[in-house]
Amino acid sequence: MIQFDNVGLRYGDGPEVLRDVTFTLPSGSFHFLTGASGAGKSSLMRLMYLGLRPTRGTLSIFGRALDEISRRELPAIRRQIGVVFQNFRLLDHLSAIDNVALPLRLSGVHEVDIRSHVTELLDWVGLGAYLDALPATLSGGQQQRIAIARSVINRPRLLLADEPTGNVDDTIGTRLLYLFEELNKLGTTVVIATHSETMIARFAHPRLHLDSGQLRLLPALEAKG
Amino acid sequence: MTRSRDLPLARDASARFLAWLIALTVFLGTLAWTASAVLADWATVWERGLTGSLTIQLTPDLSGMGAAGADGADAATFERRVTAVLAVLSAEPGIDAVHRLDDAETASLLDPWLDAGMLEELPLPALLDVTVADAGSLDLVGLERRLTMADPGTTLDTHQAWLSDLRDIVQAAQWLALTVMLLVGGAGLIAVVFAVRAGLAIHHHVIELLHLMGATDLYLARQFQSHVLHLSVRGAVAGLVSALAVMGLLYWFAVPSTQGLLPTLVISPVMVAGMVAVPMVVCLLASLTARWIVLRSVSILP
Ligand SMILES: Nc1ncnc2c1ncn2[C@@H]1O[C@H](COP(=O)(O)OP(=O)(O)OP(=O)(O)O)[C@@H](O)[C@H]1O
Ligand SMILES: [Mg+2]
Repeated sequence: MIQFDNVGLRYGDGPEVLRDVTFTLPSGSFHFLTGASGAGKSSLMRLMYLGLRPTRGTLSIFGRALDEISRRELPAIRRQIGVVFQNFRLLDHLSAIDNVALPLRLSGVHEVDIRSHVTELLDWVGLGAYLDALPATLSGGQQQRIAIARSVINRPRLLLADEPTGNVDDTIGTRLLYLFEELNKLGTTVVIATHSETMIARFAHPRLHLDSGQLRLLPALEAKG
Repeated sequence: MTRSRDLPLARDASARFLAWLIALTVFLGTLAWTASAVLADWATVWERGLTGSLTIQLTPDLSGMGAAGADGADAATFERRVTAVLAVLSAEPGIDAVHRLDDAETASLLDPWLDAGMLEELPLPALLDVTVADAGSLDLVGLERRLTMADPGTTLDTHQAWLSDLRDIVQAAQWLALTVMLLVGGAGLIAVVFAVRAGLAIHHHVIELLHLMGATDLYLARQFQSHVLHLSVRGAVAGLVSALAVMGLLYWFAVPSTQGLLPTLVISPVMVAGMVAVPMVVCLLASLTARWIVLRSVSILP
């Protein structure tokens, strides 16, 4: 599904924030991505959703080396990746429902199918009453749930979530993690960056751990309950 | 759920400004086109009127002027000369009719330059207005030679000098109109370029996000293109309506006062084509420019 080979990344002339990163994510796997603040979690995510190119090393996605994918093929590949950005990146001028509908529209899904589909998902994340609200009028946790709904609406092959439960209480956080697990059972490969020990402990999944730019694969913590 | 645009372009300040500029472009472009078409039509009318006719002037002999009692004899000699010239003309194939202007008509032609008192004292030239049946078959050089042979005091005016001046003037005016259209059109397109660039800069984050979510370059370009097309159509309609209003006003106020001086105005297919084509071409160019600028700019995204 995703393979990194000796990947290095630096921003401009800065130091390497990721060094010699090598790992493979099998199709249908579920990983947490952990590490201290500034360790490079978001940067690694950025490489995986093709928002940046590695400065060295090779990266392949969906079984194809990035260097061999032409620019014209990239949009179709990106549409199969769902991303929850650390800072949500919702479109301020669009209502909740239109924000969530965006990936469907980009994929050319028919308008008549969009509304029921999006409404159902927003209901599920507890925002059924805020369909037409603009992001600016919503709380941080509500915005985060819109971002999550947007990332899963078209059932991506790969789901990358950067701190998806940072702004919600444990109950909602757990509910959202179940949503990701549901998706994972349907075949989606999932990577979730998080600082939350509770989540890591409650959901037993292996961890990708970043420590000063270097990555180690750690086994799952024993599930508690 | 209404289909809202992914990019909030309509809120940009550049939107209103662009519509105004497009309106101005179409306004000036349509006027320039129509003016140029009217001039071309007039030139044809004038040319047709002039190539179908010749003027022959027979100057009286001025040497005997003032000699008392010579008037009657002079007049008789002059008439003989006119008759000789008329004979040459009637033998000429390709000539339809010859009309000799009487003294009153001749005097009215000179009226703007000479006052009535002077006219009484001057011997007037004989002016022969010749209608040519078929301008092509008439042997102008031969005719001129035969006329001079019959009477050295004739001059043949084929209006060629005046015609070529007229053509030059019309051509210069048309070049001017074309230059105006190009300049205004160029300014309009530059405005589109800047408006789109501003839009790209303002919505840079949204564009980047859409790109990451898998929007194709063409999808992004179309958002701008349809936005610019929408503005252009609004501007073009306003510009065309204003141009039509101005032309209407000019027509109602200017035409009666120039009656007789200028040929009648006819709305020709060329003018109508221009009124349709100028706004359409402006809108098309504007939207294609927008598309091109966006495609060029987003092609550098990762
Ligand atoms: N756009 C950027 N330009 C320059 N340096 C950057 C940029 N983004 C991140 N960095 C640097 O890269 C390093 C890793 O940042 P990153 O955002 O990946 O960390 P993180 O693990 O996601 O941290 P956090 O847990 O706080 O979100 C940091 O030292 C940061 O300064
Ligand atoms: Mg981060």
